[in-house]
Amino acid sequence: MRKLCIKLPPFAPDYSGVCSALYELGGMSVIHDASGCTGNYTGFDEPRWYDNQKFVFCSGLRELDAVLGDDQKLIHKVMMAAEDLKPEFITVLGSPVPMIIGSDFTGIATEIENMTNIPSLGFGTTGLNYYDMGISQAYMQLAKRFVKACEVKEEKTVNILGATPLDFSVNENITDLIALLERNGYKVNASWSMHSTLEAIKETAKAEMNIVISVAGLELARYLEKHHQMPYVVGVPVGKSGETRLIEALKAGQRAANEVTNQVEVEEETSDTQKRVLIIGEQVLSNSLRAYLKDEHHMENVDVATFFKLDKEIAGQEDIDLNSELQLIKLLKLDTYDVIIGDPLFKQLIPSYSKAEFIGLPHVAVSSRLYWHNSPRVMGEHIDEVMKK
Amino acid sequence: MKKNNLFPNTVHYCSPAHGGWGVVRVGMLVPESYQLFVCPSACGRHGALGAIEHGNKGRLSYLYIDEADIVSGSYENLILEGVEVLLEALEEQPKAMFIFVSCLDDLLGTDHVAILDVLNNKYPIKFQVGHMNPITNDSKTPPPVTLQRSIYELVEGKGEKAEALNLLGNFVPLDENNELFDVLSQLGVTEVKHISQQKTFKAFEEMGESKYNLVLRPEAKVAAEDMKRRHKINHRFLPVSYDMEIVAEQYKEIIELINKDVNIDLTKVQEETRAQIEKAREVIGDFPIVIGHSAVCRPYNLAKALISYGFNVQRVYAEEVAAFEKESYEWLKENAPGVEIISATNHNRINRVEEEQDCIAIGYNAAYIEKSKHVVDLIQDEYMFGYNGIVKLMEKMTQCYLEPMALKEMIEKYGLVV
Repeated sequence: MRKLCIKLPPFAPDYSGVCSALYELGGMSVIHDASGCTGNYTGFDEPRWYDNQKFVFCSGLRELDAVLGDDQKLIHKVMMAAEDLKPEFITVLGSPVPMIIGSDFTGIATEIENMTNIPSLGFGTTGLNYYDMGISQAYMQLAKRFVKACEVKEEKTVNILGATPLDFSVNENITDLIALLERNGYKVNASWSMHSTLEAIKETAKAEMNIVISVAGLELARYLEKHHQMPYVVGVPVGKSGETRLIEALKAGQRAANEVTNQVEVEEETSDTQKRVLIIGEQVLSNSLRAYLKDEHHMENVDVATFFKLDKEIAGQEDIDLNSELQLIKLLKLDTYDVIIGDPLFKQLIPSYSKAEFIGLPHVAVSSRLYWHNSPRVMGEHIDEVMKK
Repeated sequence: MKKNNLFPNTVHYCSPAHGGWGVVRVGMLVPESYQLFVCPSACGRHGALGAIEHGNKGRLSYLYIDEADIVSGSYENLILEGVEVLLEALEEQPKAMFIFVSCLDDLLGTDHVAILDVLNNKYPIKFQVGHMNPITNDSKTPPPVTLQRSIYELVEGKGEKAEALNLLGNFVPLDENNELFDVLSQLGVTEVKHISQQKTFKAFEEMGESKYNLVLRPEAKVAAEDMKRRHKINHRFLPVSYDMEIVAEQYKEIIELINKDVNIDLTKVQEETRAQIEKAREVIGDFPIVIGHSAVCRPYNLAKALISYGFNVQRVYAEEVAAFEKESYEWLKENAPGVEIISATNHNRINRVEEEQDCIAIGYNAAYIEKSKHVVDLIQDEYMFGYNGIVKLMEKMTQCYLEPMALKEMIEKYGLVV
């Protein structure tokens, strides 16, 4: 039964994705819910919440308001907070109950904007979809609303698309990436959306190219390509080979960094190179990890499986779109993989008879605060530490 | 007491120190029980992760519903099918199973009685519906209240066992040295039952045989009233207080409930408690104290008590004025005009003070807002009651005054769940 989830926790939902994507940009996000949805985000999907609080609130939705469809109460509450806190923009977003009563968040945002003169965005998030969809939705609205046209591109300037703690935690991953780019003569214009500001986001179109580091940034990359003539590269610089691959791709203006072949001398086939590997995780990072395993460990049989978006354009032929815990259990029961890489919570699904080796790679959108203090650095040679473990 | 519009209807601030045991953990107190949440996946995230942190995930599963299930009306059949598959997959069959539904269900009008009938007839397991629906937080039956009612609806018995008494509402047993046990023993009550100490579901069910219930937290008041109707169990509502006068009144009520002819002398324990209060006050002196409602069910009464003991209470963070708190609230208004009453969830709380405040914060929420390192680590009164509760509080206040702690680590270790 695909809807039954016995072992795993539910993953980060769409509203967490929206809030996470907008967190550092100076806005105010209000989740239209009773309590638990905001608690999900602040308590379990936002590692920045304790030490670096931004304006994220719960609307305090109550039964009578839902039954009466009383949007004015929400609007009034948002206005009260906005008056005191003066955010740069306002976001109102949905949860399961507003989905049932058919709340129109675009309309609510328009009304708030008309009354406050503060740019306002509305998201019909439902809690039925996962975080990557929320991040993507947030990016698209930001882009359509705020990104300014720019005909003349700044040479050797790039944007990073798809950076949130839900995929990369709050360790040095993004600063490692920025440092790599800077070492190679690239300036990071806007980072969507960690270590960045709304002003930088507005100037996104000034950059020459975009680097997509998670699947949530793909839709934005395609939009920017179409409307702002910006080519993009997809990939995370995992391993030394990954760094080279990304930089070469930027130089060549190639789309898929993973398609850039590294000229690594292939060693003789060993037992390690014949191993079958399954990576369970976010698609772009998993793809990059696969490229790293091929380049540096000469492993050719690597499949990627994901519970989140599997973009066909960047997927391998054997890659797996997971839609239930049961599907993953069945896959692992076949015992066809020698190495399994993924969030530590997936380990419990490996059958006891399997001799597969498990390598834990914590993913905040899966295991939340259980491992977010130990999230590994994955950029460049840091990944070698994870593989050694 | 400084006056302002105390609790304006604005968006809610959700502090990292907000939360407590959560619905899952409280429901897990029922021994040999299992929980199946039937809800959109998002609704279950905090409960599932909290359950992993507290070692309960092995007794918790999810059945995700989506828009199609809701629109098609196949939701009820989905539950029956889900339970069947789940029970087949479980290595050990539970004795009881909670089917938890979320806020959505309040708007769908699901026929829970029909579902329970089918399930209870089909399996040798006691099925019960639970509600995790904070959308009713402003009603008389918010989730913490309905959960207690759902839990104790499972007990069996006629409430005739005169030597047995249940303590309801608190999540952990009282300290074994609590004078309440001695008082109850003098009254002929030798079996004091707390849900967390029942090893089997059968033992838990037998709580319905006890003759008395003492309700130590407001969340269980409705459950006790229900048990009075169903099992003829008499009860007294004695929400935990740290006020010597109230504690004395509570003991009078207990004696009156069980055997008013017995004369119990509490002078010694009262003197010892007064001595402990004095000792704590000598150490702490005029050091400021702030109180948060996440720690205790009677924050105003605690403020009143501490002021009357000579402590320097400066602020109370709260959310409402409960009926049983009205008197203490009014007392503060009259007698302690300098004490600030502040909404813990007002949007302005997000702008925390810049510097660490030198104060004792009772409860994590108050400590976080104040950036205090002197933290009384108490959630929802826990094992406190009576004079022993006052002594324990004094010890905790003294200890945290002398030995500051890192709040973040304390919160992470506790694993708060909304």
